Amino acid sequence: MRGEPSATRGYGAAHEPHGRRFWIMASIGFTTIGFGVREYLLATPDLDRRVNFVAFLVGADLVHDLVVAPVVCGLGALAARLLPSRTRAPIEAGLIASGVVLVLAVLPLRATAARTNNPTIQPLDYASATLTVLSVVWLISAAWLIIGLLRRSRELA
Amino acid sequence: MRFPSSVRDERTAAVLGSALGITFTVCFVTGVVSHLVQDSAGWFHLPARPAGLYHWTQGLHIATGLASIPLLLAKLWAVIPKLFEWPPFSSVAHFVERLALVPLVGGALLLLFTGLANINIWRPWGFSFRSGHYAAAWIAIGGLIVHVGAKWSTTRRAMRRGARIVSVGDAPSGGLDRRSFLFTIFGVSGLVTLFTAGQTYAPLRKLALLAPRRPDVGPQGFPVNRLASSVGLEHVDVAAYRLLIDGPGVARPLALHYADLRAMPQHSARIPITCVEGWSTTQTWTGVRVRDLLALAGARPEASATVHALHRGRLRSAPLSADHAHDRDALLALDVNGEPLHADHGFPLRLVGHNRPGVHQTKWVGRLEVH
Repeated sequence: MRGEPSATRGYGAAHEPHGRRFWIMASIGFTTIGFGVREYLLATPDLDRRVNFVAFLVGADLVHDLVVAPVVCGLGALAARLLPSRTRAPIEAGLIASGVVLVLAVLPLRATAARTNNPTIQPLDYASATLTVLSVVWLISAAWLIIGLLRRSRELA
Repeated sequence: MRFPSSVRDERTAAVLGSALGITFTVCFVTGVVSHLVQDSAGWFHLPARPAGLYHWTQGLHIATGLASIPLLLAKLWAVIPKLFEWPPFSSVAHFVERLALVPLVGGALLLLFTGLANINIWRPWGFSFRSGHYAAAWIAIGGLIVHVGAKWSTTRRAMRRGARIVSVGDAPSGGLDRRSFLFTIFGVSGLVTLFTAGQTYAPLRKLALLAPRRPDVGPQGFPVNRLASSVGLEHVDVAAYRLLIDGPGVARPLALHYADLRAMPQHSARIPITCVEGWSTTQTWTGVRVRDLLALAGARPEASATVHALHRGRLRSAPLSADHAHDRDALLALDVNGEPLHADHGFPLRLVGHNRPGVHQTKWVGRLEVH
């Protein structure tokens, strides 16, 4: 894009020039990355484990970019289309919060520690616990929605 | 490709990036401390004082890691249009900047995924969690350093009040504006902390609804990581039990019966058991001071030791440095909260001391090898 750095839209315009600071930080950063790789290679002589680690590292990137991001963007677009504009912000906030709550709750809900036979790991009824947290989330969203609607009706009056 | 949102702009990215810079740095430093402390043959150990230091560093490690989940997802969402930038780079420096995103984003996602899965005892990967998580931390922090170098000026400019903001989204489209989006993300991050921190911060324990542990649930009222049944020590024969104190550092090797230990002067102390998995519980332990036992065996004042459990296999031994061994609260505990230890808490004898990771608070102690 040929726009000035202060353009209101577009990606290329956002690049800043890379000066000496960048190259110093890049040198330190890539040395640090190299140290991490070295530490892993020293700790893990087994080739299969090395390959597995790289697969998870790169796979995490790919799963996010090819699965998580499109799904979230799709849901966002769907919410934008379906929700009336006056109610959209608090409901979007509730959906974001619920998504994060479910990310944290999914493993306890699946009782991933059950095979340890250790009742002190994941000791709660996580279905109830998750519903309780989601109730808090949607109570906050509802309060936000009601306050917004009241404000708007007062402004109109 | 269109990305309709009025929120995807430099300021959103700068605010979330700055917050992540702080949480990841705290997580990295506390994680490296924990990694080095666990390394039995390593050069680094936390001193026994100030008491509670490891409780806080490891609690912070898990809390900042969990609080980073919404921050990271939001940050990636805010900059996702940049993934489709064309041409993909415009100079060698820009190529280097983008290359560093692979270890940064991959490392960050891997850290949060493996960390969350590990505290839930779900390990679907084929590598060692400890080595992989540690390496990913260095790889991600290295990527972060490059990214900070690349975005320093942009971030400072975008954070300035009244700055002209460059958007990476396509068009305003209603819904959450930047302020309410950031309010939501930081609010969610706060809620995550509120509903998990109770696993290590006892006053919030009743709210620990999303945490895999509760500090008040378990035999004698607190949790266990390794069960006695997993090492075949559910029923230790007290009559046959001996605590051996030997090694090159003692003048008089000892073999003490359980009754001998009970007859010695007892000391009580409030000491936390802090697991590397982020939960923590503070109890009142009573037993014999390690330094009294070392003195009885004629050990030198600067003697260190290795603590051996009765069982064989993994996590059988733990180092005990001189300052830990001679700390006034370092105990070979016989009781907790006024009762003999439950088998799952290490009956007949458990080593407890300040600033030791849970894996070094050795249960079922059978031998002190003094150096």
